[in-house]
Amino acid sequence: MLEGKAVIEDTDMPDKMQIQAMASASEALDLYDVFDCTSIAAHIKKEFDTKYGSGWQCVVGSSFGCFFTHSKGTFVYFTLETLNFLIFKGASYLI
Amino acid sequence: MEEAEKELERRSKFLNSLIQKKKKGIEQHEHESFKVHVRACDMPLPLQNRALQCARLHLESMPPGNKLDNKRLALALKKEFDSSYGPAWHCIVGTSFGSYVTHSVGGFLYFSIDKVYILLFKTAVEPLDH
Repeated sequence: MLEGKAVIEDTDMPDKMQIQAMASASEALDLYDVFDCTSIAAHIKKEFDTKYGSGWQCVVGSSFGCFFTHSKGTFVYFTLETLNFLIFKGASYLI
Repeated sequence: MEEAEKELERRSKFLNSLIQKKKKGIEQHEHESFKVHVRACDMPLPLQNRALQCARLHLESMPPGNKLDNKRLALALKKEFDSSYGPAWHCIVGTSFGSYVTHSVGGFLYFSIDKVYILLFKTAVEPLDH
């Protein structure tokens, strides 16, 4: 597959984690068709659960809006090829 | 003969107005009856009904022909559920997306209303690792 350039739209994630997000997305696009958004999302979420602990959420698509609460430093929204990617970890709070 | 013509004209106008009223009624009815389809669910029925009603009311409140604001609908649903059933709820609205999520038991609903797909789910609120 052609190597596309990912564009970060919004994030509060550490740089290293951002790179991992885009790498996981590229990897998923190599494995699955661009129309199979659910499999792409599953691949990325599982990767993040493995590397950074459980509780990650992933949404992939070409037309969606959303509202969510995320843990600090765990949110990234970017575009790659024709798709938009949202990755975040569910809300936590400090004791 | 003139009186007959006037009577015919009057009846014709009356029929036209009836037709117009009926058309308006049909349009209104069509607008109100958004087709709802629950596609996947792990949620108590009262919460389901709450979500469906909230989404329906939001769509109905928009002027006909206006494009749906996905983000606004997502916000409305999330806020309602956060305040009614505790944090933290997340909502995705759109016509073309896939997702893979981890949700709390009893906190997942995926449905479509008209041409829009809506995913609403809850995650546990946990202390951060130190």
